[in-house]
Amino acid sequence: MMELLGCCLLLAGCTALGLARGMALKDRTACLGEFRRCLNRLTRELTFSLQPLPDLVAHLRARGPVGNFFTACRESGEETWTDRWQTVLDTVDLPLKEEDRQIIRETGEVLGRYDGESQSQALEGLLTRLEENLRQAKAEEDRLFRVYLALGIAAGLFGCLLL
Amino acid sequence: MEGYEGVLPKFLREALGMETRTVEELRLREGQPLSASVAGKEWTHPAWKGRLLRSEDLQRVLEMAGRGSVHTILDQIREGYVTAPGGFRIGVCGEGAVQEGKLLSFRHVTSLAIRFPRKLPGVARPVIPKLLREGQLESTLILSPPGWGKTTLLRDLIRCLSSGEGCPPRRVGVADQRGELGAGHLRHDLGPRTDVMENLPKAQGMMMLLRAMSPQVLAADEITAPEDIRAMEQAAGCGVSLLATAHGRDRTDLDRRPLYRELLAMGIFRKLVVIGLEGERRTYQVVSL
Repeated sequence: MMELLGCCLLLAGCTALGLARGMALKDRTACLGEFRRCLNRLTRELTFSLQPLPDLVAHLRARGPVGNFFTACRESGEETWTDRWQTVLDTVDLPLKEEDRQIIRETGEVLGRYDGESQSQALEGLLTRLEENLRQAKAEEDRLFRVYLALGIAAGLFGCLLL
Repeated sequence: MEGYEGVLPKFLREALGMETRTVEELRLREGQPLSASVAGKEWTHPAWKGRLLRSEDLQRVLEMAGRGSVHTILDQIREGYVTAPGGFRIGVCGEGAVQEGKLLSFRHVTSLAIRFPRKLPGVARPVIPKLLREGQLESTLILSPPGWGKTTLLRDLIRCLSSGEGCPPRRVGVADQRGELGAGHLRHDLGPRTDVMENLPKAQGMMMLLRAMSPQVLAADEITAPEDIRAMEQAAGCGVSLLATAHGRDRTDLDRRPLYRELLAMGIFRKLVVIGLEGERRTYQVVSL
């Protein structure tokens, strides 16, 4: 009876591990997609309403970790927008790889520094790079999600056999 | 002086915390210690003398005034000033970056003058009865040298007219190009019947107010351009009373400047309020035109 219970727990644990690895891929894709949506909106608003960044960011209605990121930027105690962006990027937990973070970091160096049109142009360049990362993340998710899940289940079954 | 938290950088907030008197203006010059205008005189607090201001300090003031968003204040910077939230007006001076004869931006900011808006509720009450004729406000021009309290008086006149203090309540339209009269929370101090058109060129703002809000009184700070006069002429023709300010010590100063000569010749303004200084006290003299 105890062996059966152990096997069930081992199988469930290993499957969960595989699923968690797979979900991390999905989280990255979702996060990049949300950043793309927000930066697209910022790009349009920067040439239209010319609102200050804290107000623009408040109207983004970002969801999930990206929402946490923008909320932390608005509420940060840092005096300048650039300092806020960089500090928050280092502290808020975002499911991103270093190459994604680099693009977000560069975005912070552009925002609020120039006239609306120049910022918009610079953001479009960064958006192109973000789209490329998103495409790669999606491909990676499609390719590896099932692999991680299968590996988790297989590892669980292998453990059960050993028991 | 209030409401500068979150608008001024920490080093300025700390410096202001040391000064117990009412600071009218702060002067920041690169390589010099901070100085303040108190009762019309510029001086440096002994505690400020040890800290010489750097270019980055001045940049930080501007960055915070624009809430980290150059795109929102660029047009103002090109005019040589920035209005921070709460109506703090920051005059900018430095090395301009010019292209095809037009100022693009400042390459290097070397001096800033931060003027704090003052609220003196009731300062206009003694003046109001002298500006009325059969219960109606006569178009009035407020005159004084810079920094003597034109905007403070204008703001309180608007509040009194809008809330009916000392006169029948009126609907007041305010064309606030620089955001000094009714920016942010200042708008709530202008009375219940006041509509503020903010951040637009004055003449355009006045015409839009006339079309959209049917004001009974139209107010604008500092008439400086021929377009402003054209807009005032049009508003006066619609039966609207006008309130405006101008730089100058007395009527003679106005007569010396072609723009104001033309304005006075039109006969739009019927009253002139001349602000004077007696020691630290302001005086208000009403003259019929």
